[in-house]
Amino acid sequence: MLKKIIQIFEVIAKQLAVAFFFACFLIVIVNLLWGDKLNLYVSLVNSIAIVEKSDSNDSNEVTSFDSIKKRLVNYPKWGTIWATLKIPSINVEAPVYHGDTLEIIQYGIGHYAGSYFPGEGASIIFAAHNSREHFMRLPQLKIGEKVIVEATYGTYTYEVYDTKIIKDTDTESLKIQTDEEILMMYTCYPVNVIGHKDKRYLVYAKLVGEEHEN
Amino acid sequence: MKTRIKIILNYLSKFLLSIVVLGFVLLATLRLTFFNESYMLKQFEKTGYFDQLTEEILNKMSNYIIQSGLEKEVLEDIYTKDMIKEDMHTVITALYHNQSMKIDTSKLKQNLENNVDSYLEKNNIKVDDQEALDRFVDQIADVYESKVNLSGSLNTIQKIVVKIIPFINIGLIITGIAIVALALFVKRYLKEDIITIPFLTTGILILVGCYFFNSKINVNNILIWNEEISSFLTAVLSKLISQLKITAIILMIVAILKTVLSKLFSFHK
Repeated sequence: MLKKIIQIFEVIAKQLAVAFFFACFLIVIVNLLWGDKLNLYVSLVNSIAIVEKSDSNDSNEVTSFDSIKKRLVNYPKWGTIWATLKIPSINVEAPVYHGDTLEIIQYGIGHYAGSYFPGEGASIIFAAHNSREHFMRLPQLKIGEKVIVEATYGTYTYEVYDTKIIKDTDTESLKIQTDEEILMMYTCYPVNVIGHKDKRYLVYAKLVGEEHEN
Repeated sequence: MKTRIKIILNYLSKFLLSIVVLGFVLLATLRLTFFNESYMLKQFEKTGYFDQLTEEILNKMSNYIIQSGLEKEVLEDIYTKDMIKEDMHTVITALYHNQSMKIDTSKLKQNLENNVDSYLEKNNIKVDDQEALDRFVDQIADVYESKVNLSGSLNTIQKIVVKIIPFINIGLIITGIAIVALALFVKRYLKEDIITIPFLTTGILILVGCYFFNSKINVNNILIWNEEISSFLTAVLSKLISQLKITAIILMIVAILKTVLSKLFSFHK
């Protein structure tokens, strides 16, 4: 009986060895012929495998301002509050978030991430809903009135110099430039219409004062 | 010399049979999973995709409420999970049969319009710009449609699926014929066992392939289109790998059992 069992094991072992040899041979051939392509496909798939880093190191990084380079050091994280917008003449005081998606501007003023920050000497774009807490009274803002941005790294004062009503598809009126610091704020218009508004009320303000935190 | 030729032919046939069996198993697995409409629909159900989508659609629609001047209550019950399932069914069926993936949002629009009318009447609000309201309704319907059919991205997938399925079917036929032909050749002319080595080889290759896949590809962190689809794809891929591993183990067990039983019968003779 034992002899028979050993014989069976011997046969199985031989067949496993042959199968293993065939498998290795095929793997070598596949690797030689298509190894580079396989590695390319693997790296392509892994490029859409997003691994979130832990936030433990980021919590200590404070946003500050480099007055020589006129640029921020440690930009705010996406979706976080980095300033308060104050417009005394129309009773607006609201947090400013980095990012301007529909999800973000439910909670405050959205800062378009493709624009610059106060102090950097270029275009800054803020967007918000025309709700009571945010930009419902934006169309009441007059030329010469002040807008204050209290950022975590300094306070910046702007003076309104122009307003206009644009189509929601008009991006020309919101062009990013680096010649001077202009704050552009917009909201859906008309503010008191029920439904989807296809216009935007846009306010332009230029920098008239700044105080940096040291 | 004849014995040598017979041995070479024997191993060559079994090698070719191994490749063909592997091809058949992989093609059959693909055809019964990713390229199978009812399987994918079942997976949507099993992975909780519809529950996630129901919630996500409401979240997306809510983003348009503030700017509309209306309240969130106008979105209540304008769609149901069953509506989503039905529309997904339409989209997936269209995907596999090369049909239009447009879904009918008329019922959703009607429900929304009714809710808006009730809200306006309850709050005594007069609508000055009916067009703005109509645009809002269309916008909400677009949100629903784009979440269900992934903003038309499935059109690209449809083109690929529709091209690949016939190739898989032809591949299955060819590999099936090849298996039968090689098996007959080995059995009749070489009088050798046709199952053991091909099944063992296929099993080993599948297990190695699965190990390679799991070690090289970060399946659990794949992010494509949105979180709901990513979770769904991750779950389906993980299940596919598990099924392949089980298939491989079954093939190897069948091969070993076949050898054991053959040997036992030969001892009794």
